[in-house]
Amino acid sequence: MVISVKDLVKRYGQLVALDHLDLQVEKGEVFGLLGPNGSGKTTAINCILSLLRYDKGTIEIFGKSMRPDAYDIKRDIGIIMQNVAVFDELTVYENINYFCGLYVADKEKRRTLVEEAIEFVGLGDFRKFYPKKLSGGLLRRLNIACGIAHKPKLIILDEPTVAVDPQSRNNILEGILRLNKEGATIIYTSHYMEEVEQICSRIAIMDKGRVIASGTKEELKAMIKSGEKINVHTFTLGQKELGKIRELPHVTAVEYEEDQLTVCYDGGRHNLIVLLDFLKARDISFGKVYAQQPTLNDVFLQITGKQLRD
Amino acid sequence: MQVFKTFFMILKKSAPQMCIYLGVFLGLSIMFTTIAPSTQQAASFEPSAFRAAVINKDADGELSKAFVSYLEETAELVDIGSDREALQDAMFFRKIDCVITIPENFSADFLAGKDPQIQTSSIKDSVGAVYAQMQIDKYWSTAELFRDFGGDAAPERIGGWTAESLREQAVVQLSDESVGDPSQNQLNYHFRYLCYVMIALMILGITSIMMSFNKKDLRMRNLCSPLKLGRMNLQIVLASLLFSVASWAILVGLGLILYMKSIVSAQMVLLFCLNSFVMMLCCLSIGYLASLFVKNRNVQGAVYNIASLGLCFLSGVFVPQQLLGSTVKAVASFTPTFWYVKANDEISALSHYDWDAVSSIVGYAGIQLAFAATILLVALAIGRYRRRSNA
Amino acid sequence: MFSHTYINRLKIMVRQKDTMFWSLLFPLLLATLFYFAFSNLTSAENFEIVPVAVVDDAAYREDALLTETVKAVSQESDDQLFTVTYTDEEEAAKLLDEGKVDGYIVMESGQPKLVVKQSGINQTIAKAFLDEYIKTGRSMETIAEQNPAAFAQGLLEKLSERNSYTKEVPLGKDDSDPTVNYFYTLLAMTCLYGGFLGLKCVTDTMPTQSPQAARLNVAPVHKAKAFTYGLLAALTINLVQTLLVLAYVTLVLGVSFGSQIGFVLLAILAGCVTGVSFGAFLGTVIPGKENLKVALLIALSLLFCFLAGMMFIDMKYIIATNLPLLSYLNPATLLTDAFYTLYAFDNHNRFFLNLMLLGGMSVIMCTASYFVMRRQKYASL
Repeated sequence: MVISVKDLVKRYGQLVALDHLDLQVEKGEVFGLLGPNGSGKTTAINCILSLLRYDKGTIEIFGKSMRPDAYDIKRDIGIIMQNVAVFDELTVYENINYFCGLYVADKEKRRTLVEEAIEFVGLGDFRKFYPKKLSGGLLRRLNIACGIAHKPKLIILDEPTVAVDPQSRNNILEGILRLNKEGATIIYTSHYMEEVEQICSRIAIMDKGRVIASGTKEELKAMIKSGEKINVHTFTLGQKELGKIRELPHVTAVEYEEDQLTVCYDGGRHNLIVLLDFLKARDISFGKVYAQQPTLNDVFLQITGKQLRD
Repeated sequence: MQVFKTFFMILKKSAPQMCIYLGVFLGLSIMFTTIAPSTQQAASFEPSAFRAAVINKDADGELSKAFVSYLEETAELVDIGSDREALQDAMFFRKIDCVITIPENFSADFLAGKDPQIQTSSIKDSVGAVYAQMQIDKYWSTAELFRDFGGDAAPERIGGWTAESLREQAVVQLSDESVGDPSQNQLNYHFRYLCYVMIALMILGITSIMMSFNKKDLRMRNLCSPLKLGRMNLQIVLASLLFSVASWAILVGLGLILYMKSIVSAQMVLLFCLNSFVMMLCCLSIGYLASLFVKNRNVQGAVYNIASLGLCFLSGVFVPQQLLGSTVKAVASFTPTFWYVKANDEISALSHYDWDAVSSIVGYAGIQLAFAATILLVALAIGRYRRRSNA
Repeated sequence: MFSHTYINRLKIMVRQKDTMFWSLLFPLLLATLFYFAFSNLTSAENFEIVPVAVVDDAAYREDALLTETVKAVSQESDDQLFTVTYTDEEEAAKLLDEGKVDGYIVMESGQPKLVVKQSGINQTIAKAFLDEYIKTGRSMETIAEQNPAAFAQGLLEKLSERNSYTKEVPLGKDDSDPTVNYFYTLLAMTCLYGGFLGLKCVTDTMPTQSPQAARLNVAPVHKAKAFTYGLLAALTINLVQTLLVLAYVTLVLGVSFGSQIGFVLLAILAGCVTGVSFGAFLGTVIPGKENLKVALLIALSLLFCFLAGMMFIDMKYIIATNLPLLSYLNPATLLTDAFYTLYAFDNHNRFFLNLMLLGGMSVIMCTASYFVMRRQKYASL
């Protein structure tokens, strides 16, 4: 177990930011912390890092209790903050070197580490640039390089892709997976479910300071009743046919509005074929057909009754 | 009026900061005005008593005794003893202006015509010490007169005559239309230091707000808006004006309330207000100009100091104008503060208010107004140039 | 670890070019301005010629001695005291009112009287002149009674003689020129402005203040140590700046700091330590964001320097005599005073008292900020 958070409570005055939060992260995972803005992701991260005081609970990292002066633990953590945390007065190289130097005292060793980090985020051409001259995406990459140059075993990324162009975003996501392959455990927070779905091996969904669901994305999707959703563009569908469709296996809900038929299933396979066969058998002509797998948004919607994104 | 509103929203956010500035400068202003005039009067050789410690090593000498009793009359003698460190300390703390040591056998030596000397240790160039020096010289030059021409009189008589001659002083009369009431000075002082306070406050206030305004992305957003640059500047200037007028009103209002006793006439108050209002416009322009250079807090501290202290020292806010050298004055005449102080001094010396008397003051106000306009135009031009070149 | 933090902190501060530029420019520029503004000040007693009016009536012309003396001191020469306008009383009053003259002399029952509109240096000079005249008149009357032959013995020649009866024996080592105090307060201000650097150090170390600091806090470094190294870097820069200002003020402007350069440097070191600690103290102890702290730093350092006599030399003495405790608590006064004692006195008791107080102040401020900084978790970021 890399991280073990038990019963964590953090209050800001009246507001309960973390409400008996439990989190377990296994070695080698890419662990996603998904939740809308204000759900307590960053607060949880800051508590785990011992930056914030909390009211109750225990936090263990690498099996040891995490404290502000637990330097042996901190040595193996890399952190990429939500806000870009670099010095405007230092160049790209100097910034990475400075932050790496807080972890690695040996100069020779540091030099190779810094070079590797620069290589890793692809800032080779910008070594001597000051952060102000970098574009938003490049700045984010520098921000990441500063956090990972010392080759930590645990990397925590707090919304690293906010306000980043798609190209840099892909670069960043790929990089995270590469780091994971090289052996690092990753904690990744985001409110972009696509990203989380794309890279995370395990996901916890947070809302109002609590983990409301966790597991692999398949497990999460399996948790909710709604499964596949099929949309069919068709005319002339009568109440009778709709009633029949409702009786097909696994169907949970049927809607028909403005020539658009939506059929929801709670599981089962080959639902599409069954539906199309049904339509053909009744000579109902149809146009565009597409099937949607449930998203994490549906999971969130199902559990909380609200959209993941506002 | 979006820019205008934003200005005040930022102002509202920086309210605690503004309160600190306003508080400190109000405090300074009060201290300036209540403490400064008394010291300033001492600098004008008012025949106030100087403070001295006397060490008489010639305790038996008749003339020395007479001299000490003369000093007792004219000076405030402080008994400190003869310990050197104690004397040094007393002088250091300005408990005394000087130490007067009468050497042994002084009286006898003097009568014998040997030209002995009184030893003085004084705070150099302190008014009290210079005054003491004058009194001592006056005493002994008179005594010498009687020694040489008094027909071989006894030392007691020489002492008596000397004291008698020195007792009488010239009559000084303040003219009917005089403004010699010292409390009246306070209003003059208040308005004089107001100039410093306003420059400092407005540079700090306006640069603080403009720092938020000029943050790169915000500025670019503003520049992208369909608002004309000129209109935007106008709104900013208007907002700064409102801020400045409010600060000015607080400072002036407070001064008038505090020094109500010093108010001689409504016309004088009006002139003081007019003069300071015009100066306020200058400060506003200076603040706006400064905001073009101030991009972070540390620079702010330095720029406001250079502008406020520099202008005020140069143009006679802290050091009275008549004490400034003519070269300095010539240079200072290129600053608006110089004309402000000049006008201020003249206003407080006014005794009637016909056009002849007031015209020069109005002229000085006009010069300040021209400064205000010029500085503002320069600032706007620089701003325009900058926006074009590297927005 | 030390060199890594120290060097990088130096880089971060030095590369804030506009900050470096302005914080160095302001004391240099002000020192230059002081120099020019005060060049005339010490010789303020070398008064300019005083314009007076004399009511030239029969009573005045009767007094031959006064007429002659006035004529003598208003003749164009190096010793010229007055420029005199002879006129009638009405006109004289008008001249006075218009500010063309500083006062006018009119005879009243056989004695000259001075009429002025306000008190001032020129008016006092005029009065002193009349005092002298009256005294001389009295003395001559007395002598004439006692020794009618005196005039024949050269009384009048004697009168025009000017002797000094005093000898200045300085208590300290140097003659003191009070305007040096302005430069001392300016140097004190430069030291106190090191507070900005101390404050910046807090901003970059305290996670509530900046994301960079948060990053530092998750690294395996002792925060208080990193903070201390950062402050040392700030101190270094503040020292270099202050020394540059000192060099300019002494070598270029020729302001005297006494002859004990070692002690002057010691005082500057103490001043810089206090300045940086002051910034660290404000930064850690005052809650809230940087803006507020900067405002406090600016306002307080100005207040300190004001009380140390930056705008009025006398302020320092007024405080010292009336509120001595305040002098002991004001770092600007202590530093100004330390320079002053080196300049004016030959013993170091007072100097070391000042330095000890500065040191004590720094220790208290640093300890306080250490305890705040040592706190490792925060209620909110």
